[in-house]
Amino acid sequence: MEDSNSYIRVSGFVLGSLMFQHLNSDSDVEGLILGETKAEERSNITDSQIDNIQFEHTINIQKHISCRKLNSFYNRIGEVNQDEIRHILSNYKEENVIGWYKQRRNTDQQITFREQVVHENLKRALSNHELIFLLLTPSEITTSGSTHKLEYAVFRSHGSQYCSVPVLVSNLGLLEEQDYWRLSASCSSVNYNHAVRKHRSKFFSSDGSLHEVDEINDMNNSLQGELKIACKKVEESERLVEKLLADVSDLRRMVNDRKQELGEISADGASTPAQPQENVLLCEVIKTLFPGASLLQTQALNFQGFPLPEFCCSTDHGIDIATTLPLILSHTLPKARKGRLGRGGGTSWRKRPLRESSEVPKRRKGMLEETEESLSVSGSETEEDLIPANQNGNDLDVSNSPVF
Amino acid sequence: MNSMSPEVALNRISPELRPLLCSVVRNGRVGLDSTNCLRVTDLKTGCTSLTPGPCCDRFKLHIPYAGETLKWDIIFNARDPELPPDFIFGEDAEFLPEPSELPHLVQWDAGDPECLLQLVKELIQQYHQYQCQRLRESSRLLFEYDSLLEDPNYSRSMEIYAGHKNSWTGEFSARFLLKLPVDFSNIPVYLLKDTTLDPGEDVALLSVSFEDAEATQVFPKLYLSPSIEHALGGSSALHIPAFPSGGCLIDYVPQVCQLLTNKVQYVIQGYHKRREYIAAFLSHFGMGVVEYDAEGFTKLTLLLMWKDFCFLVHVDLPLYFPRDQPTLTFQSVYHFTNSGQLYSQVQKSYPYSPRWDGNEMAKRAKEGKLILDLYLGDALFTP
Repeated sequence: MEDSNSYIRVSGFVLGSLMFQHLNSDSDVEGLILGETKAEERSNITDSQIDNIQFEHTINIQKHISCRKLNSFYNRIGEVNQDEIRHILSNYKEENVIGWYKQRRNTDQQITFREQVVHENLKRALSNHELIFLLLTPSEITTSGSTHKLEYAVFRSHGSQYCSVPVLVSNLGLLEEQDYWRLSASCSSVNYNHAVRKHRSKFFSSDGSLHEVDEINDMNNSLQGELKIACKKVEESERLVEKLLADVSDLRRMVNDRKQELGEISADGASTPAQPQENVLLCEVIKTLFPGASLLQTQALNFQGFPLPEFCCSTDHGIDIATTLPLILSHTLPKARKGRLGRGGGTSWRKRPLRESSEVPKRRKGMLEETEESLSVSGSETEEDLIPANQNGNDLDVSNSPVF
Repeated sequence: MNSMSPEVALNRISPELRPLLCSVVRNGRVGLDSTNCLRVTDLKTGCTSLTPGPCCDRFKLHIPYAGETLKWDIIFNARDPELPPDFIFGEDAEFLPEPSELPHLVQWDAGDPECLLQLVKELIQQYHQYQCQRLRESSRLLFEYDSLLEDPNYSRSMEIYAGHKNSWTGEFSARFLLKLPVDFSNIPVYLLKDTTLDPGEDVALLSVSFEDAEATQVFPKLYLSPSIEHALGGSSALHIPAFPSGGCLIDYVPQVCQLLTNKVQYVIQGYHKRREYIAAFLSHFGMGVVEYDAEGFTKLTLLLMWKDFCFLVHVDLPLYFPRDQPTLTFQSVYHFTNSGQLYSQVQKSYPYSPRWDGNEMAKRAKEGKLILDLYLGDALFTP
């Protein structure tokens, strides 16, 4: 939605000086108005509307030039004399003329016949279709002449009609400005313009934009570039992750398919359900290392967590530990192994009572020396043999377990 | 609005502008309705309040136009009296005349007292064109205007006021004011002289108000200048017909014209007939004529005698004689009534025919049969 607003801005002292100069004139007066025109487009985004564009057209009145007499720059039928206008303007440029004014005492606040004709001709002569006409109409309110009023209005033509434009008088205390100034204050002082031009290059670049703004724009561009690179990397990694996930899904699908096939095969060939496979190597190792320890050879535990010796594996799997896992035997007691190997290769352990841990190294060494003579596979140990000392109050002896 | 007499306005206006205003307020007659001069109100000055008077240089001019009164502001400058005036056209803010087509503005001469009046007349002409242009908002009313424009009797004597379109109802109204081409020159002068005011030009204006664009509510009204109205027997003497439903002006206006013309003819004819009647009675009763109206020929008094009995006979001839019968009043010269007046009696019923000419009427009267029969036959004629 687009909205268009036009305003006339005039400072208090400019308007006041115009009024003061002519209020005591003994006839109607007229003159030219100088200033500048600015157009601004504002886009407001609110909760209810996404796009609300406002065009603000501001005409700043900066100065007036009075004519010494009436009908000086136009004739009886309102034809404008451009030479006379230039003469009135003297050093000022025609481009600075934004309108003209007239003061008519004791008349209606309405544009007259000749003023309309002059206005149209002046618009054509100055090539300014936004030309304004300021009308001041002083009059007496009381019959005694004690109170006078001065009404003023600015008119602008729209085709054949003349509409009044709101006038904002900027005084020292601005009452209508509640937010930041969006436009700089206009000034026609020559000295002011000279000073500004002298230091302008420190703040503005050649195209009229602020230096800082250019730098910030450059930095923003760099940030945008870096962001693009990071985004690209994220994209690539995301694509890789996506590919890997796809591969994993394929593999899982293949595994499931294989399992299904195996399941179907076993269902076709075997009547008994598949049994969990025994770790035969571990079984043979334990039998080799702990020949009499049925508790260690069992694969079942009761609810209290104690091994059940009746579930020991008694099957001879026919695995020669010495050739299959030679390191197992090398990491066991070296003398004992030698002794064992020397006496027929069989190994036997004699159960030794548990000792305190501080005596373990010595006792172990002693145990090792004692077992050099003979090691025999003990019978089935009972649970009590393996009950820790903290439960049955006996001191713990050093374990017969091999030390790696 | 402070209405003021012309003299007051002329006293307050700036001396340099006085001649211009004088011709306006004294001789200013514009448009069809020229019975009254232009009026001036709201005289003000463009000078400061400390300037000694008279220094007024701006005023409102009231101009009759098509049954309305235009109120235009005319603005001079007392300090620059040679400059031409400026105008504010009241409520007609859209009226913008072409300045190059105003000769008295282009060649403004402050020394010519008639310059302002002529300029106002030229502006009125352009205002008329502006109003005619506005009729284009209604095809019906535009047709009425175009049809009248084609008739040379009305094209130059027409004023149109097109009202502003009502933004609520959409209704558009207009008023046509036409000067009827009726010849009043033959109306006897005595009829036109008998007015207290300056009669001005003899004119008959027909005002037709269209209250809506489709011409379903049309109100005609006839305006006569005071002398004509008096000559025709007053405002009630003439009644125009109502505007026919579905009719148009090009048919209605000639109808009203004819009615008015017939009326005028009646009046003229009546005058001549009365004159003839009086002349005939003068010739037949020469010595018996006491007095008669030598201008309007409306009265005649005879002194008659029968067998040494004298009596007066007053003959009153009406305006529309011979259509209307004359009234005879018998008056005794001897006897008075109780109130001290001479005994008299009015007689209206007697043998009469409008087809008799004046000579015939006088002859019948002279033969004595008419008056004697009336005199003798009336039992009331007793002292």
